[in-house]
This record gives sequence, structure tokens and C-alpha cells, in this order.
Amino acid sequence: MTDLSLYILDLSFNSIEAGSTCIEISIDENVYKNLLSIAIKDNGKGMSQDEISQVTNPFYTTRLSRNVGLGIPLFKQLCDLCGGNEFLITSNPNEGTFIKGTMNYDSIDLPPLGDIVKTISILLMNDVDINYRHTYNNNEFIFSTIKIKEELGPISFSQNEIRKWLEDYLNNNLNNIRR
Amino acid sequence: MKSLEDLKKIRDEAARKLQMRDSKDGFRIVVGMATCGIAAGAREVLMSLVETVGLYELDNVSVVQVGCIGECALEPIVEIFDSQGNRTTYCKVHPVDADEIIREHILKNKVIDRLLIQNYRK
Repeated sequence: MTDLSLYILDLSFNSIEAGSTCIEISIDENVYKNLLSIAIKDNGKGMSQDEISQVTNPFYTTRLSRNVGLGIPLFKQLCDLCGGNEFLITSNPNEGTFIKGTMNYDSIDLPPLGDIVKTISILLMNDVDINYRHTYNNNEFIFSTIKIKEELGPISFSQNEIRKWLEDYLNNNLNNIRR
Repeated sequence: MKSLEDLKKIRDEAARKLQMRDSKDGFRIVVGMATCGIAAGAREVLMSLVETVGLYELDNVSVVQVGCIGECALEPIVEIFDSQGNRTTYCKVHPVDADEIIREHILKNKVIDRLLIQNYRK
């Protein structure tokens, strides 16, 4: 994976596979504390304690098309490489899953954030709600699709014009918090 | 700067277009978006396909995301289903191939040989 937004996309697909209707994505960038953390929380079917203990094993997967599962192991490896500050999964059956990793901001192994807007845009084509929170030092941007969907009515985010608007809106706001 | 106010205007325009939409006799473009696909660049391929479908204003084409197709080494994989359910599988697709896929396969019904998975499987 070449950037963090791809890890986020991959982990969020786990949430979609688990039947989530709402995914909360938080990115915290704190240059002063030298920390970058990524957290994803969903309301999918969750995992048992037994499953949690296995998901970081690359040879564990629930899918049938192949017998390796690399999404979570890759993310854990990244956290370990970039300072090993924090890697956490909590989950309960029927209560959703929470996954969080914290990396050193100045780690040479930390990939760039990448195009988080594309990641959100693609996730929204899957008919899930997204609550997105991004902080950069003291600046914060919060975005929720729930309110926007009320405005849209039957129109979906996959519609070209809506997708374009969304991408512009997110790009503008994300640029703003970096000012 | 795009605001929430702009969204309302765009929404009404999009609603008008949606009413004219006719999805019969359409194509379904499926992109593998599991870890293997994402790591190989499937996100850019998917975005490129979505944007190209938008550029050509094709109302009979839907771009769909799926998980792992089981040929991880040949990702990014794009499958095209026509209205009869015939399947064509393209592999090692690059974002720049999106235009050719739409122009040749979707618009002219011509299969693109160099991307066919049959030519890569040993």
C-alpha cells in the first residue's frame, strides 16, 4: 500500500463486509506531539474474542476466494514500523468493531496520507453513511453524510454531479485545516 | 468554494437527469476492491472508470465494487457484464485503460485483447 488513504479504504471495506451501515473514520495529525492516528469504528456484526485474536494473523480470513487475509496485518505492520505507539482492536458480536493505530509523524516509514477524498468518494458508492473527523494540530474538520443525504433525497452520491461536488467540498475543507 | 448551498442547486439538476435515465440493456463494470486490488492500484482504476462513464454521459453503465476475485497476482481486475450476462475479465488494468475500455468495449462492443485475463494465466 502506497499511502494511508489506501489502508483506510481497505479497513473500511472490512466494515462494509461486516454489514455496517455507518462507518466513523477519524484521522488525527499532531505535528507537535509527533503523532498521527487513524481510527475506524463501525456498526457491523462485530467479532468474538476468538476472532479478534486471529485477525492479525495473515493466514486467517473469513473469505472463501483465497486463504490469506492481509488487510489488518498490513496495518498492524505499519503501526509497528512507525514507532509502535498503539495498535488496538476492540469488538463484540453484534456491536461493531473499533480499530485504531498511532504512528510517529516523522517516521521514515510513514507513507503520505494520500488522497483521502477519493477513499471517501468510493466508500460512499457503497451506500453507507460516513462520519468523518480530521484534525490537524488545533484545526478540525467534521463531515457527516447523514445530513447531506437528507438534502439529496433519492439522489445518490454515485451521480456524477454530486460526486464532483462532494470531492470539491472535502478537498476545500481539508486544505483549510492545514492552513 | 463549494458550499452546502451549491449542493441544493446541483441536486435539482441531478434529479432531472435521473428521471431520464434508462438502465435497460446496460453494462455492469465490476472492479475488485479487496486488499490485493487496492494494493495494486484498483482505487485509481475505479475512479478513472467512474469519471470516464461520467464524461461520456453513459446512463446504461454501472460501476460496481466487489471483493477479491481470486486472482490476486493479476490485479487490478475489471470485469464487464453485458445485458445478457456475458462476462469479460480484464486484468492488470491501469487507470489510463479506462478510456479504451469505455470507448472500445462499452461503445463498440469490441473486446480488448491485450487486457484479457486468458492471456496472462499460465
